[in-house]
Amino acid sequence: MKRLKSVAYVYNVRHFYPDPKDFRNQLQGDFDDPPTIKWQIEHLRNLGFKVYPIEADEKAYFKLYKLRKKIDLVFNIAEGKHGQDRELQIPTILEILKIPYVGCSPLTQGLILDKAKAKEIFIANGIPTAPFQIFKSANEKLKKNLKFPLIVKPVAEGSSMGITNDSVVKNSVELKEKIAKLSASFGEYIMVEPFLSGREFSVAMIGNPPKILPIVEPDHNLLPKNYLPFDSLEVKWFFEEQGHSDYLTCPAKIDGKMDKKLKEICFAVWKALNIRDWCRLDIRCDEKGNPYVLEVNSPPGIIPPEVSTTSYFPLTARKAGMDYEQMLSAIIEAAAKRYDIKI
Amino acid sequence: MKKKEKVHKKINKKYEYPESAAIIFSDVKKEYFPTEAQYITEKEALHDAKLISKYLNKLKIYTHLFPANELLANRLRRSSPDLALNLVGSVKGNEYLASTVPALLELLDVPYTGAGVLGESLSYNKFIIKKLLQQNGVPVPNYQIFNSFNDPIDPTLRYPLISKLNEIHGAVEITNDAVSENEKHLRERLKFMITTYDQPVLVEEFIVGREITAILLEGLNTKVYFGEKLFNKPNTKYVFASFEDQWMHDGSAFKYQKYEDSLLREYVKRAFEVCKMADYGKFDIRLDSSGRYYFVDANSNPAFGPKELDCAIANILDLYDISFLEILKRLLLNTLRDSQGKKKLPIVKNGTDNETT
Repeated sequence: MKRLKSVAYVYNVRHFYPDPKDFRNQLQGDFDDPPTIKWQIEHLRNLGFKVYPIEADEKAYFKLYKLRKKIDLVFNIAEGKHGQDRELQIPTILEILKIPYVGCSPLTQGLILDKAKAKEIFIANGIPTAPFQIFKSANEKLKKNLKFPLIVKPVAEGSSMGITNDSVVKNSVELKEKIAKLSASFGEYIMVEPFLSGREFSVAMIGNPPKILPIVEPDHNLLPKNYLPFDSLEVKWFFEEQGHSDYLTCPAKIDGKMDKKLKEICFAVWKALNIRDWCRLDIRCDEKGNPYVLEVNSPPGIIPPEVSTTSYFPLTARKAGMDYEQMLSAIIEAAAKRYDIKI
Repeated sequence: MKKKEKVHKKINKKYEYPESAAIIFSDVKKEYFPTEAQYITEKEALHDAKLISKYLNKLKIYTHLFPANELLANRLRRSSPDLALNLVGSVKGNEYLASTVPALLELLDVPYTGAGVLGESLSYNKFIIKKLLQQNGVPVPNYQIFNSFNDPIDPTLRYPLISKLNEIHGAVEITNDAVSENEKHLRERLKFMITTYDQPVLVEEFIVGREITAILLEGLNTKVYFGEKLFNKPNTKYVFASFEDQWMHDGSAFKYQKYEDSLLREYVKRAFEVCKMADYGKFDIRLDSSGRYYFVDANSNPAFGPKELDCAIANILDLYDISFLEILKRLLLNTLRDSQGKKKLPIVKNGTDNETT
């Protein structure tokens, strides 16, 4: 059995902090800031690995090709710089180079990136998710089963990009305006679904088979009055970062019935999409308390505690008794096991 | 929707063909393939690429022929083509790795023909495709995926059943032995296929009836062309296009004739979107005696080439008087215009608009 000595850390670096008023600025929203990258590399080194940091840009393939015999495993958190299927680029080139990597296969990654495709898979597998419609343009007619208020979002963005405080629309005029604006800004199809008014949960999963970490619930009642109760870009990138430590409850206060229901949904999603190693699911309830899967985050954000203490995955890992490095180690171990690599 | 962001420096005029094109084809070595049958489906990759290259040369386009292997990225970087024709059906013998090619092209900012990474990845997972088609109201036969030959059989499935490799196209293992009338035969078939190819097998109800192939060409006016297979297979119990018919015989097992149905056209258009295809795609559909359609195969990167290659796309379009050169021209222009964020060009019938199809 091969021993894991070296890890290539593949990332995208952000050059602009997301601005809710400037959608162009949000195109790098799911990338990581330089300090985040610096600390992640340091934590990986602390685990005893030789770390090769590689930015997922046009040169990434050549760097990976050159280093392919030296790299034992790739820890990929890259979202892809550009292109229609950007999150799939690194996993696919790792497949061709036969370099083991952390996370989902290109197909799974593609299905996750495309929120509509993921929802189609959920529905086909009997997993509860809200009805939806994809708009290629603002002039299309709204399906009759979709009732206002509706939430409007780009179909293939992460980290709340394009989902701002004004993404919830109450009538067809607002809907059209929002679709047109997002479509022009992100250059992709736009997804519309009912705005669910109930509780929201974030569920982190790790391992093969996966373990569910303590469930996170944001307390939307603590948001300022001008904020709508959902995880908009403003909430994730500004409110949470202002250090409202009581905003996130972990573990969420839920009864046994809800706990069971959420876990069943998460395992079903993992199986239906053939997820590997790690992910985080966003689930939201309707007014009757019925949970619906919103989306899967893969790779989920893992901002180190030196930079932020509200990053969901490290937060829930801490609640499960894992510090940041233990969390990284658990993710790496899950992937290494699949490739028969010893840590 | 295709989003290819880079505006290539050399392409600055409307309706201009590229100066250079990379033709990327499968790197075929016999040892890459688990069986002779799968090797046969790919062995002419270089020959086919050379033939297409001649057509591009006729348009005064300089061509680079690159096999899809780990040197591809370096070759693309050095040659810097205006666009790439992606003809790759497998990488190192693995069809599921074909999606590495669009991934690389996206990363290197080279406009390319055909489906993107997700479309290509989906194409090589027939089970997921069935789920998505079903979910979007496109009819498919009842089916089940088998990861192991002794998985319990869904009791609602009705014999005869046909077994297909989940991740391989080209009718590999679609032989006369692919149809099972009972569980004993099905188990034996599953055992052989799963062991030989080390991948899941999709089992679906065999639809007795007619078979239609649909080719969709994307453009400003997206077109769907149908060819019904007219079989010449007397004394055959289950009539379908087998591997032998497509690759081993002289082409006498079936020929195409025109077919038309507006309902089927709508299904094909929907299926094309559901499968995240781009530029062109091929679908095989069975039609039962009650007039119901069943989509039995979807291929985002089918054999592509002129009539000399005897592939479905050229044979069917020939029924409609559309030449390969015409298709090639539209494909090149659409790909370039698409990469510049412009609308697609209409598909025309050898120079004249063909709105009726």
